[in-house]
Amino acid sequence: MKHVDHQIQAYCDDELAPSLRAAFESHVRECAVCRGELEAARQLWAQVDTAAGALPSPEIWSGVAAQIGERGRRSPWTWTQRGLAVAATLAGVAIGFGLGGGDAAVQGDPDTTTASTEYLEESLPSLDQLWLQLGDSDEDAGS
Amino acid sequence: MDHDDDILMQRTAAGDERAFRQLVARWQQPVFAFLLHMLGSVEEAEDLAQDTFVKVFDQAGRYRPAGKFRSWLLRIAGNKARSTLRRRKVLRWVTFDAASHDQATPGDDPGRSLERRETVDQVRAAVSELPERQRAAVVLKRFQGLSYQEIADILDTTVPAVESLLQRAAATLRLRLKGAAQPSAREEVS
Repeated sequence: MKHVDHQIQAYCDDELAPSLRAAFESHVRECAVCRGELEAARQLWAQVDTAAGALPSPEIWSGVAAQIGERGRRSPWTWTQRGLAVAATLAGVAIGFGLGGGDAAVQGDPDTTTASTEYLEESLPSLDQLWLQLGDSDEDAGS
Repeated sequence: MDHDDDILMQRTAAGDERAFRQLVARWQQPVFAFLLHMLGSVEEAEDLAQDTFVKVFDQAGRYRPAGKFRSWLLRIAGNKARSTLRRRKVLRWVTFDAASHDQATPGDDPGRSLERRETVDQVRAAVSELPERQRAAVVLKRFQGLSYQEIADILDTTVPAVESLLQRAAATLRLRLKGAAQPSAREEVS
């Protein structure tokens, strides 16, 4: 008779494959040694389970919030947003140079050049403004 | 629950601090319990639980929602516990006053309650003396109720390896708890 003690742990943990389960149970019914091992394992784990009992209740949030807060509440979202904003600003500046350096600039039309520059200045916030705006949104998220 | 956690993580990644707070409230006890059983110190477990959640916050944008939040979270906690254990080498158990936290069952007589507390202390001490990976497997299986697959994910190993860790842990615990445990069935048979 081949013992099944190597399967006891998985059986106790309800992890034994269904295909092996029936054979295991059948063997245990016939074999006093394996039945004894199974009972011992069950008793052991029941005893171990008692140690899972009541533990102190941690107060995690205030510490987590403090650590996040110390770093200026820079969430992954704001970093992503900041990156996009900076990229957009740089792209805008590049486009501005492109427009400014185009036909109008070549032709030396001061009105056109000035208009396009003013448009860019009005439509694109400065980097400082972006940081400030995003800083505000962080505060909102934190409230 | 993992699906809900995935949604909360997505909201966290989008800057929703309330969602993150909800995640912390939901998972702080399991994370803390895991760390406490791994480290044996309330203070360290609280500190590392905080660090774990800060890392969760930092990583929220990179988290891939696959319904495995618990494994992912406990893996972070486990890595932090491992680093701490490597530094200190010696396990200190148990610095918290178990008696003040383990509630007596209503109707229990004081003697019985004391006996149960002693057993719990013996078990905790025996578990704490297990090698680190065996201890992690026991804590995750018995105290957290995780499947072998989840434990394998957390410990970065295979399901058969988890089974083996638990078998070896059982053999060791059986020896260490022999005095405290009821006689094994094999002893009764022989």
